[in-house]
Amino acid sequence: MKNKLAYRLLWERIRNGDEDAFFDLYKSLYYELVNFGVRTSGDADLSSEATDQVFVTIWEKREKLERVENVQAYLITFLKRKILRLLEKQNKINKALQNVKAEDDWFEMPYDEFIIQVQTNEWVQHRLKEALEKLTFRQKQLIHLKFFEGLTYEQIASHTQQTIKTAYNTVYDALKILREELKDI
Amino acid sequence: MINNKYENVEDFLIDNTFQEYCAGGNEQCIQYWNNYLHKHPEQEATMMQAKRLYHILVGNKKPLNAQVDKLKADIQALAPMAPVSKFQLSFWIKTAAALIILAGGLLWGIQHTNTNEISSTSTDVTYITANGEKKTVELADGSQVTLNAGSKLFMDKGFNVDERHVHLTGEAFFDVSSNKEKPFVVHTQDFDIRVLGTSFNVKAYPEETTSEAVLIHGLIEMKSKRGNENLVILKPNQKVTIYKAEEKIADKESIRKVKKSQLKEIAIQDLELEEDHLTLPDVAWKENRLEIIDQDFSSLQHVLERWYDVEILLQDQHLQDYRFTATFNKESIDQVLSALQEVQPFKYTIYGKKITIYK
Repeated sequence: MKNKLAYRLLWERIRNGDEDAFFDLYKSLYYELVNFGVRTSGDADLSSEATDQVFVTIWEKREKLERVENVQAYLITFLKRKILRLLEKQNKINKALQNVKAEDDWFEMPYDEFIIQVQTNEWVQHRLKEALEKLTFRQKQLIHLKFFEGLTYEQIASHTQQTIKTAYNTVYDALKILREELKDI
Repeated sequence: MINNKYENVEDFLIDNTFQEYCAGGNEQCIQYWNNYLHKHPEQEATMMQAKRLYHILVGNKKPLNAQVDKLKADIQALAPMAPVSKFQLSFWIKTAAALIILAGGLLWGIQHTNTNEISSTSTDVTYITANGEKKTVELADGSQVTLNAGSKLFMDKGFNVDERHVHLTGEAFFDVSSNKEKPFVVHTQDFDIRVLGTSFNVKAYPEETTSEAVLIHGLIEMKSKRGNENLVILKPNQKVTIYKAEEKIADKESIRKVKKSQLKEIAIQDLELEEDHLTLPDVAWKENRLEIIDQDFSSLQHVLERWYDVEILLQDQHLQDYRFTATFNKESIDQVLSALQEVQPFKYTIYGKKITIYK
């Protein structure tokens, strides 16, 4: 994760109309923002849409942007508002988000919840739910870190305090189970 | 980890390169696996199943580069954009209204929006650092300049009256206070820099073959004094290198080969953005760190001479070509030389301030 200052520098350049900095920021933070959206709203398309809207607005209003201390936090806050607005439009505010007044209350679902919710096909949802139940906690955790969060095996190993080899084997075992459980979808 | 045996879905899916292939962002991986598919058509079903499972597990997220393209289209639709060219002919550039400066972990902003009190220099002022010395000074307009060893900063009389002109030989880090009415211009032997509120590092030692400027924050305009009078605008984290003509170098003391100057006159380089600008090698010296990145002994010699205020004699021609990469932090010259010896063997003797290096 890049230091806060790197993002602040990009932000300053964007305020000055630097298009390269704008896309650099987008590429750096895209997955972080979209992942947050998915973990909270359970909707990948919506999350993607909201993130893009955030960035389009930033570029549109670049000359009026204020100096920002913490770019990531600022963007997440901005993203939350966009998500709520999009959900309202779609009449989809689910119970969890409905009660959110304070922007700090957002609830991030665990992997085996949002990963199911995000599937648009009900049959896939059903099968996936059953498949995930066959995994151990560790296996689910590592599948989450590897695929959803996109961490490398090295990062996973240090994050979970295992050896790389163990991480690798755990993922492999989990995949084997999932492959077997989901072979008909 | 690239396995040699791919049989089941999990064999493909465990592999990083296959994951990249599914993600669709990495050209090499895509090519590799398309190729593989071509050579093993009987495994197509398995690979497709693996890919399907991949998309389920990542939550059906769209790949980054497709999104970047979409974003580009979205902002084009906003308003027609003026093309940004790196070489502009105008002298006036957009300014950063105020500065963000980092010094030893503290953050503060300098904003000089008005000049209620005009302090100016009525006499010439010169700041000089000797070899081995570093000095930070505050100029009459509030700008801060940190001079590296063996440098000289000369202020024009009338600095901060209409304009702000300084002359530099050596190396300095500038934090210029913002004042649109009074352009700040740094003159060196080979180029002039016109700034309007930024922080940047300038290196212009007369005995070196190149001069450099690194921009940390804001925008500056740099004009070469050589032949073509090239004009460049620097964006943050870009470094400009200006190459001098061959004939200028003369050094009485060491048996140093004159380096052939490069063919190009100016090179602009985008620097890797490290943690924060204080860790860029070019400004490492400001923090009492000496960073050497793949330098040969003859350029290292100059750096060490200035840094430690010593005289170094390279007694053997071949020594000049030894290359080193290292970081030093407050070591003595003796410790530095010992460390360098571990990389490439050489011998040295120290006699007061004179160091002789030989094979």
